[in-house]
Amino acid sequence: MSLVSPERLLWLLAAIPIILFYVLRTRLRRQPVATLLFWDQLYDQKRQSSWWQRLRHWLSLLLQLAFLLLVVGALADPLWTGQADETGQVVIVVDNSASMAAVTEDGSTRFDHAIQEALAVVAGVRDGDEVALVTAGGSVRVPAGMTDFTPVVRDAIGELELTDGPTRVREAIEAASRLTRSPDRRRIVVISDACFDDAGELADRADVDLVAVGAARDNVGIISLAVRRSLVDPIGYAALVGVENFGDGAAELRVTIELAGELVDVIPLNLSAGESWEKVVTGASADGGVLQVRLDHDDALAVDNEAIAVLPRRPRIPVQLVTEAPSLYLESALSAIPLIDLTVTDSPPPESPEGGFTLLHRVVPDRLPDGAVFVIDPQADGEGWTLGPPIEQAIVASQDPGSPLLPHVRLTNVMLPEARELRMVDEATPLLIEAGGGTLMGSLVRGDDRLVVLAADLEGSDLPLRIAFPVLMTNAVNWFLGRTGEMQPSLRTGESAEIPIGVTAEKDWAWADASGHVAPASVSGERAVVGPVDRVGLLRLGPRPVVQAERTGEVMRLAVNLCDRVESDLRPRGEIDPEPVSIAGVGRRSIWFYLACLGLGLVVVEWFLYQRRVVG
Amino acid sequence: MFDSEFLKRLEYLSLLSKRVFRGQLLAQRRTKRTGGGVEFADHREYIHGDDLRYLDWNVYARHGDLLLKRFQEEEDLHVYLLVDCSRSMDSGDTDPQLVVDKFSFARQLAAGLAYIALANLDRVSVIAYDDKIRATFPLVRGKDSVLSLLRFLEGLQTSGQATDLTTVAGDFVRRAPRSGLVLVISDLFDQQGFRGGVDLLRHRRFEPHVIQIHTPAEAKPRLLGDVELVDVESSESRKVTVTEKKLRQYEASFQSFLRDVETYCRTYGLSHTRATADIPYDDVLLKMMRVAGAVS
Repeated sequence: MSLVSPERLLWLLAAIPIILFYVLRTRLRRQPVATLLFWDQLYDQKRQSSWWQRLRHWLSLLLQLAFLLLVVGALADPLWTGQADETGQVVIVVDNSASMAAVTEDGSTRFDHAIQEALAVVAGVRDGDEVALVTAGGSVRVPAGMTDFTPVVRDAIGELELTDGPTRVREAIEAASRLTRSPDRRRIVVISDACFDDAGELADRADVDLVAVGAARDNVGIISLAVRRSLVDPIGYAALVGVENFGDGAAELRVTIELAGELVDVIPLNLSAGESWEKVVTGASADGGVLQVRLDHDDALAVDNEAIAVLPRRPRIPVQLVTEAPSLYLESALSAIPLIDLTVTDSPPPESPEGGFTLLHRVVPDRLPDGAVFVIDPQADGEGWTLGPPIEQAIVASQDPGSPLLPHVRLTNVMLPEARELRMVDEATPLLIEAGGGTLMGSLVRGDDRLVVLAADLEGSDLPLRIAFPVLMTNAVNWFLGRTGEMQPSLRTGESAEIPIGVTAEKDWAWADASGHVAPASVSGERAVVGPVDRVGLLRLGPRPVVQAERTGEVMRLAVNLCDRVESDLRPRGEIDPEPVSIAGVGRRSIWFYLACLGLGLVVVEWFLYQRRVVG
Repeated sequence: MFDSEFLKRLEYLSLLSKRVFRGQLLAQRRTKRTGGGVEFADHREYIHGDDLRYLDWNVYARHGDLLLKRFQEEEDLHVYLLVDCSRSMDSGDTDPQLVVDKFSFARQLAAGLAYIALANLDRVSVIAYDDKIRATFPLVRGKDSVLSLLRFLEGLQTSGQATDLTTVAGDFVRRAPRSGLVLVISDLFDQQGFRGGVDLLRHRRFEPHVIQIHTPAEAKPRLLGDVELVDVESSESRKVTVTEKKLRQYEASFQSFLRDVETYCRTYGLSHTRATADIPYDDVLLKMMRVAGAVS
């Protein structure tokens, strides 16, 4: 057996004054009394035998010396046989992922238990050992680096917070491995609920001790929420909601959907064990807002009972129709599209209205307006096209199936009398091809300008009477405005995402999560990188001063949800050894602890033998 | 200790006692023995062998019953003073309130009682004891023996390792020529218990009178803190920490002991006097005489 601090054995010199005090003890004041009969009744003490009278004084000295020996032994910190003289390195990995917020049978959370376990591990570390603290929720963090000053680690443990992020135990173990210098001296203690896929495999690793906290609990959670705008309805949206029962029994619940505080739908559910449910909920709203899905169900984990999505407001679309003669078809088709502000004029503007486009009907100016322009039945050549001879019975033979201008539009075999062949520049995209190979409709993108040309006479054909015509016009509106069916993306906790911000940011941008935590956003071009985010809820992205001041204005709002099957499933995976972790070698404690306990016991014995009896 | 002033005081007490008791104490008191006196006591059945001279012929003539006349026998009263001279009587108490120490107080009481008895022509004997009889002053009669009795008392010393009234009483009843009044002057700190000795005296037809004396310090000790208590008789010691609470418990225990003695004496019809050593002995004697006079 060796000692960590043999120099502390010098404290044994304290035995000298103890012995001196015993040798030179002060004598008690002697008081003669007529009889001891009454005093003996008071103190009720047995008549001490003579051998005890002789030995009690020296036994007291022996107890004092034994106490000193034990205390000095504890200070010297002896090591168990087989323990290396060199100090060890212990890395405590605390899982603070979303599943650790699950409530246990005793009303506390799994994370509370994990904190207690972590403190117990730190308490069991002997002098000289180095300890580090790593968290494994959302993203891997190192709150306390390798140190032999355990109060720092204890403080760091006390300041740990739960996250709503996914479990990153494997990444945390890799980080812990990098923190330690020698694999032989390394001990990694993972304190987790073992609710991740490779928990059992992890428990088998020689250098990893997995401390499992919390028992399996039933839970129902939202596993998906995706919202997109309708492809045919400019103000419509569709929300895909997914719910799964991760319990061993059936669950009865309600799904409540609200948009901007207004109730949209309430769906009662009865899910059997392991059953999942998905549904697309549709609606319409030009104003947008926060779409909130909530499970009305009392289960162990609350964070997955709610999910949100941001539905942006749809602005009105200014459209300038330039025509020399009124076109009933065009005006009717455009007016039928929601949010369109139609203006009819006969003189082409120099540029298209912002957020809208210009529709030139039979009019071709010398210079096309800047921006988005839709040219129907041009009577002359323009910038980007030249007209060929009229085709008497033009029949659409094919159409570009991948063009965003033609989804849900079927014009094959449609006759377009008096249509004219278009000869567009090379970078243009032909959309409708007639049987002779000529182009009847094409699109062109030049920088910020977008151009669509349809060389067909609407009055002379039945195209305006077809259902495809308003759909074509709606597709054109969406294409001009750069719209697809996608919505502003929703984030998942623990992940980073590139967010299109629409402008080239020159300022310092930042994002703030639902808890108010502000972090810098990396901006590249028109995109900003956000995350990883630890909290569910609304995330705000914008210039740093605006985000920090919590003002609206330029700030974008993004939804952050958990939507993670792994976190919602509160049942541990794999076989976890329930035995406690041993840091010091035996019973989680160093020898000094047992020596100190023995010393305390001796103090109690000494008090019982020498003090308790005579103090009234 | 017994100077001329003391003797004058004794003489005064002697005269006072005659007036107070009016011939009902000591020598002028008749014993309960029946025998050859002149004063009729009672009758009893005649049995074979009785002296026919004492047969009551008048009763026989009237009723035909053979009854024997009995007469009360007059004899001197024997007064025995059992004085405790164990070391507990000399506890070394240095209380300034004390006129004399406890042992001297006991000897003064003994001297006073002996003087009164001798003045009334009773026979007096003094026995000094601890765990056994240490010294005996034989039975004397008349005031001529007062000085020798006082010298005997003055020469007594405390001694012994214990107090054992039972053993002493057993020895005493074997030695005593006749039964009589036994005045036990002691603190009654008897390790074996004083009751055995007093019971023995009662059973042997002695008339015990218990005079219990103690000092104020024994009733209310003024000790606090860590002390080593040493028994002056056995030399045993106890290392204790005395607190106010323990003092209160001690006083309650001591008062309980005093009440036990009183209850015992009252139960068996014994005379009992308790006195503390901080008052003059003659006050105690006067108090005893008043109590006896009131009783009578």
